[in-house]
Amino acid sequence: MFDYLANPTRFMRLADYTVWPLRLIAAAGLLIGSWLGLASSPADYQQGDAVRLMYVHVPSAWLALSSYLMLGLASLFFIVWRHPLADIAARAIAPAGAGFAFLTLVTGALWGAPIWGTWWVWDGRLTSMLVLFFFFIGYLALANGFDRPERGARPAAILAMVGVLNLPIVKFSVDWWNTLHQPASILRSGGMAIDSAMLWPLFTMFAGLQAFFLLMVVQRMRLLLGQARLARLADQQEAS
Amino acid sequence: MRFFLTCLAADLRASLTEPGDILAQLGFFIMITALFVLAAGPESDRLALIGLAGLWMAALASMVPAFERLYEAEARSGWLDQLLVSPQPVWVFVLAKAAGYYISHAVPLLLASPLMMIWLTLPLALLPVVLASLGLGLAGLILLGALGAALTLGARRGAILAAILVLPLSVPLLIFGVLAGQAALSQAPVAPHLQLLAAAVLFLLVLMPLATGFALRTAAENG
Repeated sequence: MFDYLANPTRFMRLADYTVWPLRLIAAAGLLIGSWLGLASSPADYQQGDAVRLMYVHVPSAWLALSSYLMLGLASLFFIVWRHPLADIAARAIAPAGAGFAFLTLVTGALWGAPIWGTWWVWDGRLTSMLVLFFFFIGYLALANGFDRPERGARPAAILAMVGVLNLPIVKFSVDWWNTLHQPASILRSGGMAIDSAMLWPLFTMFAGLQAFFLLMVVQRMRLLLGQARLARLADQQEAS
Repeated sequence: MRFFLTCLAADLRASLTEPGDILAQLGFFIMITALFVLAAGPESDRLALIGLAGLWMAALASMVPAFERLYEAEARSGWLDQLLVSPQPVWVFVLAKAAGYYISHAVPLLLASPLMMIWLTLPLALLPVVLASLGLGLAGLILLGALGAALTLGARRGAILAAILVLPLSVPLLIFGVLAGQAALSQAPVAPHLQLLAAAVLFLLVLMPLATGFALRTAAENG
């Protein structure tokens, strides 16, 4: 399958077909999910309406983490098979992943202000999400840090792979650091069983955000491929 | 092994004949510590609590900006290209370079750290723990810096870029290192933190030379 998709022209044609379905799924998921989350689901008996932030927060955190893994995977493909499309994919995933990590931190802070009474705690999860966000920033800075964009491809891919290997250590060290300094946040521990009235909006929002994420990645890949083609044509024009 | 020693000797000779870099970095380290004390205020009971943080911040801040120039001379003189076409393994060169950098840039910081501890009103009984944790932490940091330097060869704004790459990766080193010192301050067992720190450094010792060698090859191929 990868061989088949690895041809940029074929990929472009296939990607064209995915754009509209993704748009529809994303719009439907986000609209229905928002309605379920904002209107039809109950407020939490302790957190009140602030619990509704969870429907954005949790899927974002999920997407931020999984997109770093995807970034690492795309980088591995790029290093092993040296296929430019893998680099394009990684470059398209990174800004989306950074965006979701940022969204996770912001929604978390907005939720924390009324519930925890503070915008920020140096809780293990918050800290590792922050470091993950820094990893994305580092990747983006390196991938775009060279005069010729394609020159940054391999260094950035190496960085992403090292980052994936390092992430568990960061996570572990941050948890270790946190547990010694402050007792685990009461609100985070003991995974509360979620009622299905809250599970449905969560899943719908997750599907919508996932489709939105894929849409951003596909659109950005098309943009990057188009830019590369444009640069090639300009070079040819100059040469002739 | 011979290749390792040759590289190490050459690197040490180069950095010792031009000690300006080392002195500048050492001065930077001392200044940041002094300014940290000025920022934190002179009350010694509070200062001792955050002194370890100041020491580690000063060490990180003085090490990171210089990483960019780790391979600069070799890359510019064409020595790196020669190495890459030679049968010698690149990772040995990377290790030798890191060891040389450790001796020329980290050891001076370690030697200056007792003085810094006096400034930061840390009890000198902490010295062995601080030397062990800072010594290990700087070794790990230099291994990360080697990768950062190799990845940013030929990049725009290489110095700040290398710092942005290296600092998030150095989070575990910082955490384990500071925890060891704080455990010693509160008379708790120090060994687990130092062992975790050593484990993290060993992990980097295996992974970083390979990744860095690969990054150097990439940089040389792409000019």
